[in-house]
Amino acid sequence: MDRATREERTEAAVPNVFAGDEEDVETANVPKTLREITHEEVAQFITSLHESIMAEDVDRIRSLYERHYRRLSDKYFKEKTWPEPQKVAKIIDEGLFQILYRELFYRHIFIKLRKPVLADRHSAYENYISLFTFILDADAPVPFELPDQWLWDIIDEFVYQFEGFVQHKGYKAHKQAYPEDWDVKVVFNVLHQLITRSRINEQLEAFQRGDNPADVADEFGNHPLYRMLGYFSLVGSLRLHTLMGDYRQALEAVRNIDLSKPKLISNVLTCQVTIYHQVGFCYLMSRRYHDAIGRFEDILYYTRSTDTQNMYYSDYHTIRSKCEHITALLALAHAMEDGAVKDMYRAESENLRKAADGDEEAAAALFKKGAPKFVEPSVMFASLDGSDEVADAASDDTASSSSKLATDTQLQVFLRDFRRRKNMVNIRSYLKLYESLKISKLASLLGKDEDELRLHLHAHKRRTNQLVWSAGKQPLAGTRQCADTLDFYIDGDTIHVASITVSQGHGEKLLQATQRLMQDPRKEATRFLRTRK
Amino acid sequence: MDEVHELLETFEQYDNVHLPRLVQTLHATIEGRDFDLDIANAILRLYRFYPSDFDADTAASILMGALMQLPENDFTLCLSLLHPSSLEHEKVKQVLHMHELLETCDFVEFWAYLREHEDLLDLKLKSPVEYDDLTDEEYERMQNGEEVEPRILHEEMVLTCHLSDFKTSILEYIAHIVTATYQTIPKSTIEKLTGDLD
Repeated sequence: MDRATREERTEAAVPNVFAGDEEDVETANVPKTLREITHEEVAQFITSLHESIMAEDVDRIRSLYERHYRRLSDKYFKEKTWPEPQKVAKIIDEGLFQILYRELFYRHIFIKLRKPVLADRHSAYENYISLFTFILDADAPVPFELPDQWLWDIIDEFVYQFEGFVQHKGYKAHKQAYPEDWDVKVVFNVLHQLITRSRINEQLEAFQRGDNPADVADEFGNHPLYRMLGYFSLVGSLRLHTLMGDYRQALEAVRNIDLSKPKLISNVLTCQVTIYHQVGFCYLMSRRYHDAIGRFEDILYYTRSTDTQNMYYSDYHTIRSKCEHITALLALAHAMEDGAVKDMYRAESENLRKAADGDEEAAAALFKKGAPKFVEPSVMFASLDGSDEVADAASDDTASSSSKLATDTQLQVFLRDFRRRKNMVNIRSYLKLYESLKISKLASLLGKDEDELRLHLHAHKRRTNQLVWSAGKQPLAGTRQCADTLDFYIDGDTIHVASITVSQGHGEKLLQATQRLMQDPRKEATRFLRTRK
Repeated sequence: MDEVHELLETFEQYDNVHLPRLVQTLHATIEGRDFDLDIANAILRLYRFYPSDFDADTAASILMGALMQLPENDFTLCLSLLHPSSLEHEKVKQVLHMHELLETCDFVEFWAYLREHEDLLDLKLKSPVEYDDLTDEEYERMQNGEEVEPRILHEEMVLTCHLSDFKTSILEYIAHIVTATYQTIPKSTIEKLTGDLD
């Protein structure tokens, strides 16, 4: 089996992943009854999946999951569901496989068909609980493994379905039917237990110290399934806290993850993108604009540079749309920073320009595009019998407007700082022109009196003085420094302007020049040669 | 206190049965001249989850504590956790206004405003009623549909304390801004910025 999959994988180095892979799925053991309820290929897929899970053949599971699941979904199930789990269960009566199959079944409904009904949400929830109970209640690590991508998708989907649940219109009705479904405490508890069981934080800390993580982890922590679920749960917690506007706890959750290089984080691309997106957003709301820009740029450059490989990635379109969100936020962060605008923001250049000029609507548009879909916590605990007035007012809203309320709350917090920045726009452009000038002169140039001007100068200092993160530190940490390339100080009655340019290492300069060379050889080459000496 | 922090690491932090203890611990830390942002955030979070537990005085007190942490961004983070309706309360509005003045560095206005609202320095924290756990027998009776009155462990309390360090903290913040901005500064300007305090 192994050799077959390896050969097949080298073949797949050729583009067009979605054709001609049927051979991998073929097996002689497809039950006849399975063939009766669905297409031949799908029957083969289901059987192969079952066999490889039982055989703990991770490579084969990965191949089935990453390519065939998507391909078959697109081919046969664009408008309908996969074969009913109950029907499949009659043929393949195996608990663990059933749980995993149902996970795929419901995920398809939520993501592709986008029309889950009450029963779907309920069953999907129960299925996740079964899965996590099975994994967490065990005395010894459970005897199965899944590929990283699937593990990440489980955690991500779990949080995503929770988010969708709290925001959907039938929330109240569902809670009356099944009051215990999708309880936020349960969701948190699951993530928390996965984290503690795998001792992932201890492992990461040991790794940073240079120790061997295997020493601090027990049999659970050393088992790949638990370790990766623990790791992905850290990111799940990051997402969950951000959804509720708790940015500090969000950053705390990933305190042991090294954000200096996307590659170090995980080999699952959607996980990498999610971490940088969420962390960047937390920085944005913590007014650490410099760091927000840093993280957004890191991941955008990374996805851009790995674009040719990513095209074969089954979630490619998800990545592309997430990158659009990130770009919107990046534009917003730049608008707050008065920094140089680079050409990658072409998509948002109009909004960026307007936001940089203090246009609130443009800023709000960018914010709503890139921000997570916040959930309104008060909705979750509203008593359903109407005895609680304040809570009832909250739950009376339809779900979408409660989510709007949550988003508006966060938007307002952001806009408060945005509005303060509006006043500084002119001052900076004048400062750029001088090495030193008297306060009185600047005041008259701006048409403001000296006292008012001092106010603005102080406020500018306040805003550009931020905590700045450096590689190797925890996300919440940072050193206070001026985050602007333009700095100034006042001596007596004169303003002295200093331009801080961070000197890049030669290596970086060479890299950048080479990249430019690749874009337009003739033009860039002559320019490069001219600036060399 | 570590017990409380451990509590905040688990999902227990979302259970409002812990609210009394959190408020009491926060009060103790403020009196000890410390402001625990984690506990403060936890309280605000519980207010968001259980709007009926919301107490404007406590929230305003937390925000005052957060103001003392400037230039750190604790205040903004606390703001993110507040339900918009909370912003309608008079006391909360006043603290918000002070924050606005401090962020725009309108220090002269700030000191004037503080002089008129010295009462904001008197913090009031409400610790709600704390009920004892039900015994198994009581729990059974409740399951059968009977009305069971839970026993009260602690009555509702209003804990007070006076923020004597508030002005000092703000002065530190102003000093931070001033030293970052100036090499030399005329004495009269300093006096104006510090509201003619010493």
